[in-house]
Amino acid sequence: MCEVCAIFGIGEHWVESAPLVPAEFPAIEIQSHRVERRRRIELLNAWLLRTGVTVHDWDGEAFSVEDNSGRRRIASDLSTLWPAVEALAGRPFDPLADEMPYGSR
Amino acid sequence: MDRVRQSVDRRTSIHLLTGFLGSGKTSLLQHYLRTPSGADTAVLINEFGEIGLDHRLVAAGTAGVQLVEGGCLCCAVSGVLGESLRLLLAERKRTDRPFSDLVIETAGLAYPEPILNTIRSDYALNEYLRIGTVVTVVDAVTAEQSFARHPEAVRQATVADRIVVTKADLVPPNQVTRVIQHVRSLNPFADIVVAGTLEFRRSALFDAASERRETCSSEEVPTHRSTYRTFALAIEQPLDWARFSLWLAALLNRHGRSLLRFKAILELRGTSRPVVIHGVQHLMFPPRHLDRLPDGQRGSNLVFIVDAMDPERILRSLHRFMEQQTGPLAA
Repeated sequence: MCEVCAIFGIGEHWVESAPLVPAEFPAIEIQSHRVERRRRIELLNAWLLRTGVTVHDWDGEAFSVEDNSGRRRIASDLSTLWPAVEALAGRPFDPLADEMPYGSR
Repeated sequence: MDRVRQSVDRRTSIHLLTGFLGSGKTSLLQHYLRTPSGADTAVLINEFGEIGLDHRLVAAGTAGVQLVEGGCLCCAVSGVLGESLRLLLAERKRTDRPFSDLVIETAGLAYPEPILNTIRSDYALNEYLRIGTVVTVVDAVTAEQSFARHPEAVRQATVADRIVVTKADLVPPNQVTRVIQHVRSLNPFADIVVAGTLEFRRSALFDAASERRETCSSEEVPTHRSTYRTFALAIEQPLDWARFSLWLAALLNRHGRSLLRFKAILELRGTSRPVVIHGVQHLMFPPRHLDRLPDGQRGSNLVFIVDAMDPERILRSLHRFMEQQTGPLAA
């Protein structure tokens, strides 16, 4: 990740690598990515409500995944986030399973 | 960083030439290297065996030919491939032998996905290289047998941007037609050309694939292997990118190996410009914006090529994860 991206919190992961809105100025694009990132974390926490696992932003750079007993894992992006969630939740998060997402029922 | 690259991308394109044993990869490469487009192309050849021959067959005078022997790139991929690419890049800098493009010719028994994944996931290589076009060579004489018996041949066809059918002059025309239909069923995204015909231009072997890739078929295409399926989902309502990306990342985490190929043109909430995303197994490529949806398309269109996955389960899952956004989706 380049310094500018690190400062403004936009990552190399495919989710964050395209402009979300047609923007003339980089600041608008950066802002839209940060809003989306915040929304993703809110959604994740809603879906994970029953697992005792919560996800927090780590300076716009990574995700901090924590459980009720204080264990913590740092995930660099969405590719590594789900394995970290599963490790702390102690069960798989398979989106094809009928009970998923946990928070939907 | 990728946003900067999108506007001024000066990285070297790295193309993949794959195809089953004896399909004619090296001959095609030889012809390409003799064209003006191939003049500044470096080549990395991988052979499955202790004594490599193919690098001797490739035309002299190219920007550099390296051979990786004694095993298959996809099996020992991160170390050997990464090291070979770094050596090529270092040599370019040291000896002032510029090359504008790089071609990896894989072994006939190689799975292509790990090779692509290695390049994409290596941050150092990513600074200098970007994945270009994946060309798969299919032998019209043996294609049916290879697809039936060798999963490597099927996987090579599913990841291709362009498929070149070779040896068409050795079989009856109806067999060529059958092979093309078979290939199309395995990979609805690829350009398919027959070597030796007027529409096949040697110099354009690694050109970006045509605009037909920007359309997704909404028809289910029967595939020949019983566990492989190609299907499309159409969703009328604009999708929420945050929800969709989380869902897709979770799907890739659990089922990436079975999701052989994925491509979608998405209509997203909050923007008038559709987004194209595509991936190969766990590997997703950076999304791109289109100015508008292709003619005739409304809403989002998603096409999957899967191995032993149930399309109904994927559709139900997508509904469950998306329905909280405003209500039930149309499909």
